[in-house]
Amino acid sequence: MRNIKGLTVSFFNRSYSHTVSVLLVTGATLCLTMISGCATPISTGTSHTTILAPDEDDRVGGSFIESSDIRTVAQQVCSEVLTLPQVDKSSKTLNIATDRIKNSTRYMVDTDVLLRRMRLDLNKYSQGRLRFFANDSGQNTRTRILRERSQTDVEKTLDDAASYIASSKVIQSAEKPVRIAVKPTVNTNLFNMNADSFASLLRTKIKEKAEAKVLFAQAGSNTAVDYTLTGEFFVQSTKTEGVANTMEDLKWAQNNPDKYYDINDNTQNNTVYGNQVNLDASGRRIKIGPNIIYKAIDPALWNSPNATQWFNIMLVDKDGMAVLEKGIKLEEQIKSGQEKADYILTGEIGSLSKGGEGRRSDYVLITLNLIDPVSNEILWEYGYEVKRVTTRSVLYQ
Amino acid sequence: MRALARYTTIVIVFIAMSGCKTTYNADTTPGNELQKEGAVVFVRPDKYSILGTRSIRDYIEVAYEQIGANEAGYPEVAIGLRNRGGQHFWDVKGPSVQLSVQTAFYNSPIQPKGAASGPAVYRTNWQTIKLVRGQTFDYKVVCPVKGANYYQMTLSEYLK
Repeated sequence: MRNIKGLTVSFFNRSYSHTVSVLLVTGATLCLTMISGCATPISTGTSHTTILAPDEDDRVGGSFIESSDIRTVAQQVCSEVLTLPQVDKSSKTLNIATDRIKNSTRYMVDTDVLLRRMRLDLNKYSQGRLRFFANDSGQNTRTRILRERSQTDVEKTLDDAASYIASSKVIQSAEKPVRIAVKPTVNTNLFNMNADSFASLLRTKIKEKAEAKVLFAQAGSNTAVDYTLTGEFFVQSTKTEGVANTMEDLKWAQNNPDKYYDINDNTQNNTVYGNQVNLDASGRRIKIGPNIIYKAIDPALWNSPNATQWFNIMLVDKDGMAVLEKGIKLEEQIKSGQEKADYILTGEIGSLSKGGEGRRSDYVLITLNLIDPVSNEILWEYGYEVKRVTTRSVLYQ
Repeated sequence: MRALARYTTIVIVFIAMSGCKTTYNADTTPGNELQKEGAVVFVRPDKYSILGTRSIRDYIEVAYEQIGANEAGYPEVAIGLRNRGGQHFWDVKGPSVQLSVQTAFYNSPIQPKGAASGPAVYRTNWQTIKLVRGQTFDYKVVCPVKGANYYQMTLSEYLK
């Protein structure tokens, strides 16, 4: 019995320790399972920066307009502009030119932000009924594209002009090959522009098209000819246009020493001083020679003139009469497009500012208006006002 | 020992299974909660104290509420918000209140399912309104999308 008892105790002891082990393992298992199951969301916070909703107060301070004001103005302007009878009842797309919003406050802020935010809403909700003109963005690329297109167009125009001359009665009905001399073209109100290259190109194309019907005399030869191919290079402008060209300037100076160089021993440090005849016919004493500063003459001359350039080609007979004449547009003026604008959207930010005893307050009035460019009438005006006081002045930019 | 090994294996499998789950279902807003929401709602107070809350509802009341279309046919909501001052024995004066208001417009009825049961056609930004004690503010919003004749306006404490 003792033995049996001992066995029984031993059996119970073993059984008990086994149960404890199982419970421990199960408990540990459950703990681990729970721990692994308690997934915490990943931290989306950043160490130094907090993302704010654009309408949220940043608690930085300041008493001027906030981003929420800009957004509110944009929302209200969008609704009001679209509601205007001139906009709502218009059967055509209206073109809106924007002008910089005048900042009359003591703060240096970029008022274009307001303009852009308004444009964003108007473009989105007008559904194509309003169109805005790009003022700054994309303008360099636009100029490049238009210039390149213009070059492509020139080739086609030259082709057309050559066909026009080659297929004319003057050439086609002549019994013998028509003998033509090419006379250097004239620059009317364009200077430093090489029109001769166009004349040469045109001559080649005429020859290609007319083949044996025409014979061109060598440049500078005194061969008797039937006609003279000449032309005029001019720009569609009331003033003289061109590009300042140092080489041309020096060449001209060498050819006209009496007119150009100062002969009164005014040369200093390899710099020759002379009297420059400006485009507006006024005289000006400038540096020429190695240290020439051409921009000083007229900065507008530094770039190719933005004006429509024409090449007027003429076939002149022995009596000096033009028997054929055709205008070729070589380069189109790049316009802002705003001539088509129906209205101008602009405005002003004004403020009444006070300060004292560590507190500053600003009453800000934002006014925006839509102006008819022809009549100069204000079609619509909008006002938004806000007043803030702060104990912490901040820098606005 | 064999039992121990069996349990350990089960544990490892359990852990591995729970660890493999990378996505969880997001909770959806209960439909019955959304249904209770009206056209003008106050955001739940962000502060509770022993005596009352910082609820804007304690001070602000809606004097009038109109929906219509303006002369160009755009939906227009006009609402009169009044600061009625303190209404409790511990605060009979009441503060001047800064509110942030956002209005969402819908092109289908917001009831019976509730405004948040579908996307808004147009939503204004949070616009700030200052209401001094006793003032009624005539707040008007025009929706630039025609046909969005249903709306919900949410009034919150000033966003900061």
